[in-house]
Amino acid sequence: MSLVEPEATGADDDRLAGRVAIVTGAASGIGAATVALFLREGARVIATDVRAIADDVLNAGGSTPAVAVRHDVASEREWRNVMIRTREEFDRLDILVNCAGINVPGGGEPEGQDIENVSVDDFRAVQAVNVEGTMLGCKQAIPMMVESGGGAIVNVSSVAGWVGVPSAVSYGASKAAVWQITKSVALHCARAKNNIRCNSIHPGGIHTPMFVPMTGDGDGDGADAPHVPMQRYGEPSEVAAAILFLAGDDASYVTGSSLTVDGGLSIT
Amino acid sequence: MARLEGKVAIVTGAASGIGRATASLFAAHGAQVIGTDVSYIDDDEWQCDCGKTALFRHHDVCDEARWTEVVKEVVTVFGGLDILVNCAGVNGAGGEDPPPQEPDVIGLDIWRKVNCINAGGTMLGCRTVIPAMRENGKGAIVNISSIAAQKGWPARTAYGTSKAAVLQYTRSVARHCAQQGWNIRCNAVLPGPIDTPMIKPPGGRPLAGGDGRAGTDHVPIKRYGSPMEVARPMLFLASDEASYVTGAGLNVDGGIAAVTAD
Repeated sequence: MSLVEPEATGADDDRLAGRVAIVTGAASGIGAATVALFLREGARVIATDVRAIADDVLNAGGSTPAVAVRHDVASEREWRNVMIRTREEFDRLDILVNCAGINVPGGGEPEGQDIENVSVDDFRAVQAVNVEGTMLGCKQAIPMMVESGGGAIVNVSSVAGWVGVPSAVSYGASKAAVWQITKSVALHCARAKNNIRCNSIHPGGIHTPMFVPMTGDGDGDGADAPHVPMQRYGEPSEVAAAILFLAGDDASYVTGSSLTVDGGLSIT
Repeated sequence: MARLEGKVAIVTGAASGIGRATASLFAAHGAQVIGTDVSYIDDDEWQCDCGKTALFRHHDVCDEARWTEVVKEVVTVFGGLDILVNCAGVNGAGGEDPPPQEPDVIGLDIWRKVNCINAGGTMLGCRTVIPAMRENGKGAIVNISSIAAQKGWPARTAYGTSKAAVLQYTRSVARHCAQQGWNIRCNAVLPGPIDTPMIKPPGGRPLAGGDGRAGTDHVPIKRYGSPMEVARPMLFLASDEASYVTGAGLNVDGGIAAVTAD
């Protein structure tokens, strides 16, 4: 008797065929790479961001372009709008990737974000996007996933959710909260027997616009990452690949888990 | 796209359970598989699952000399080695009258046996394949830890300890290889209760979990995992898709980790 189930054999070209996915923070970085990979794997994608999303991101999959929705994740009203659009376009929801996040309001160098200098306004602004945005996404997505027979939520936390981040206390606190929300959502869904999994991904230093001030210009020659065991920063596509794993059926017994994608940073 | 096309993979503990599923899944994704185990498996059955060129070798993972022989043969026959899955493991609960592992009564014999196979076998595997993977220019190692590494399990203390050792060793191997500039990644999966002969021995009683009760009450999603549900995450970790993942411990446990503080 063969142990290989039919779906495990053969071509794995369209690992998300038939699935509908919402990806927030889709204009750049990890979100944009996730949209591109999901499209290539056959998903239909709602791509959201407060910023405009470039056509080459929306068309990265070749055949069907992603649907772009302008979206402030800190607004529950705008989340409802995203759900309405998802229903209108595809009438189902299988996957949510909560990728939208900021490290400093307005972006840029994280200066004055240590505990002695951080302002309450900055702290709250970071929590609003990273924490409230993730919470609202899970809350709004679950009912439509239940209607669709189940689903998978992937929240983008960070290695900074585990380790102390003296230069960015707001960011570290927000990513720890994302991790914690993930576990509570996973257990809630398990208890509800609604066939929804929820996991978190914990990138280390990745070459994205958010981390350009920290990781350099993205040449990835390794000289700029001496504290990373792999001696290089990661690429958005490398995080997207891990998100694809958690979002897909390969992770069918994985829920409430956290996966580091950090070149070994968190084991140092 | 076959996700392991052209890769050569050794899978220990391949005669049953998670190892068997992993070998067949990796083969289905294009890998040349070499399975090893102290138990035997019918050649036809093995090659039916894992392909006509799949090898199966008898192998006690505590035997240093045998590790050297197996890896040498693989490199000679297939020209290199890309992947090792250290799957061989025991929990010490097999047999008619398994020795107790509770802290007030555990004996050194069962402690040594379980730790030698689970932790020692993993150490020997990593140590033996690293030179071959350096020669190859790249490699990925996946070790099997367990949710037992993260929570108290009074009835299986030797097992839990050995699996915590595997997780720790995984991190050190990952850091060492990365810092040396070797293109070798090392990660662990931490399964919860999986429907294998280890958890449900044929004719025996189902194994009780950390709360002393058998069954799946302690699993948030209220079911055992299948061996294939552990094999698939290992496919991810072993493949180039996990190119920036090293030193990670991935729980594959139906949500148990979310109720276990670690």
